[in-house]
Amino acid sequence: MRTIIAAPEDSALKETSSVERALSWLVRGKDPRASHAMLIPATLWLLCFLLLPVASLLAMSLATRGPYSSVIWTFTWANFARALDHKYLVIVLRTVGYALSTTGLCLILGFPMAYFLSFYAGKRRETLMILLMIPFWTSCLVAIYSWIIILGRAGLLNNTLLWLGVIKTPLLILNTPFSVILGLVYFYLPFMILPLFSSLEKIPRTYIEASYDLGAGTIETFVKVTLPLALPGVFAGCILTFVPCIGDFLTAEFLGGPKTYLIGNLVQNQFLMAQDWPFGAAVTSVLLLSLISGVYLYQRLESQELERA
Amino acid sequence: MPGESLLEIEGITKSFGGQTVLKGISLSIKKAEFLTFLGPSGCGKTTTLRIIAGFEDPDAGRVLLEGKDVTELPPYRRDVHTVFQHYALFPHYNVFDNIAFGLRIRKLPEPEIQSRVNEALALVKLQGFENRRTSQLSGGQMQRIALARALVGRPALLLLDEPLGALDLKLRKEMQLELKSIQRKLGITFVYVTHDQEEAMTMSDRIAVFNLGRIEQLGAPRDIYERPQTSFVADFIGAANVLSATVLESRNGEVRLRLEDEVEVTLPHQGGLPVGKGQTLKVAIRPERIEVRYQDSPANTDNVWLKATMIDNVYLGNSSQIFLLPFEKPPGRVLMAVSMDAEHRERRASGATVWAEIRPSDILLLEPNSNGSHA
Repeated sequence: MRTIIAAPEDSALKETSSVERALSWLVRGKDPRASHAMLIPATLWLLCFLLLPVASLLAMSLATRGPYSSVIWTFTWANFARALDHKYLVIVLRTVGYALSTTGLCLILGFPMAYFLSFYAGKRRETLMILLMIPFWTSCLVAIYSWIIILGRAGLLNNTLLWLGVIKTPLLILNTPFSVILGLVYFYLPFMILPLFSSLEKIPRTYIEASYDLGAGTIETFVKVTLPLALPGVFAGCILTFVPCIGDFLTAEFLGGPKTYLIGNLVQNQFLMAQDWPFGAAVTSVLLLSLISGVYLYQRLESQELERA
Repeated sequence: MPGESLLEIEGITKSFGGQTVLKGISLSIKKAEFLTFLGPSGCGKTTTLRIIAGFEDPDAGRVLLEGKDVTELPPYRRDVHTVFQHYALFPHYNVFDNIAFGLRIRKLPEPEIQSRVNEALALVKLQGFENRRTSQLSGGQMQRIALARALVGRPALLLLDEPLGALDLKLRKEMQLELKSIQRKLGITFVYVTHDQEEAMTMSDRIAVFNLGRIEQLGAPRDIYERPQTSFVADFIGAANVLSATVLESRNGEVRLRLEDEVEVTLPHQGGLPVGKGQTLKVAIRPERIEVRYQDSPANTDNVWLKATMIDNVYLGNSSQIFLLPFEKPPGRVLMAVSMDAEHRERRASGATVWAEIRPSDILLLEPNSNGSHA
């Protein structure tokens, strides 16, 4: 008897199960506290406003330029071939050079700041963190125009120096590589300091005490204990600074000149001035793919390092 | 040379944020001694240890190591190493590099480092672990590596801050005996911090009992247990029945007391404690020093016999815990007796009339108002 009754029950169970499973997957997920349904809004958002535009960009990079800003959908590699031309390669190298110098300067300036915040700031920490975040919260354009006012030919800096008699004729500061790198460092310093600070914060202070205890002085302790344990923050900060620097165009546009033309400016010009959307899309694709593969490669290396360790 | 002093602490005080943590700690630690700082959490034992290590500066007082004032010296200039509570092994180094850390700082030649690390690993019985990552070690193994790392530099003084606190009971017992034997073998002075009185009794040559920023008593485990000077010590080390007493008479090396305002006893006057007539103080009686009798006293006895009602008799396997009510006046202080006599296993009846027999010398006089410490 039992087996006869059991059979239809079984099949009924199976019928509902596929629908039920899908529903329960949406509602519940593996972790009973989390629901996959929570992911729907973000997924839709990313799909509509990130993945689709990027896909259309990639498609466009293989199309041909039409009159004005129109696009003729015929397949071609020509845009990529053009993007690898040496006259654009110079721009790429310049951009990488600027991004590397900015990252290096941010690291040199940011590490002592993060170190101070984590180890010595004490009660002043909150205030200092807010001061650090202010450039973050200021509109980019406002900040850029402030820099123009400060650095310009008749700007605050030149006028002050002239008034003090340090210089006789105004210095050319604005629209030089110097002013561009200054602007980039100014904008991206918090991106360096925050991950550094958070990784310094994570170091248990007993490690540092143990190092002192075993006879290592302050410098030896820094080199042998603090710095190695802060390395994840150093890498994270460098990536967070380097990547947006590569794509930056506002800083070079406003604080730079013809000699500081960067990839960002090239892309912007192709879309808005030259009206060559397919070529702009190709340059963007090359940039995007090299950054993604660079970061991916770095993470692979890091996880291998971790496994080895 | 045993008996010679290695470390002197003179009148150390320390406060954090307006709260006084140490109220004047003075202490002399002998060479090759195993000294334990014992006390409840917040008593100042760890702060004292950290001051010896150099991690904290005292507000007042001095620390002298081998006669040299080291109060102002940073930790890395003191010939003192620490075994930390949570080991603090460097996660970015393997076992060998962790142990070799201090030797490399001192720039010893690599072959010597090699042989000394191996020696240290053998000492803690973890040969062959050189290339392990610290994340691959169990709690007990990490503890041994931390010990090896601290010992490999052959410090004059080793500080241990509740090093066994995170281990399970069985491992802890094993490590206690091992620590003691390592200490004997190397002849290094150990200062050990714990809140576990049994741990302190097992390993120490002397125990300093801390309470509320002061040392309540300093002495050999046996002295601390058998001759507690304050009610805090009597209660913290082992169990104790602490009773109030009034001095009726003190002469010829004998003291006559009235316990709990009810029972008069005469006992030998132990220790140098000055007692005057009419003074109120406290006495302690260890539970295992109270014999529970089912008949009244024989005619001539020097012992104290207290008639009592048996409130409860708890069977504990190898012993029985018996609760007695010998005093009639409220609130009625209850005495706890512990006995291994088989007799009590049978007699479980509560409410029975029994007698508590106590040798006068087992009634321990305590200092009156010892820092007001005993709650």
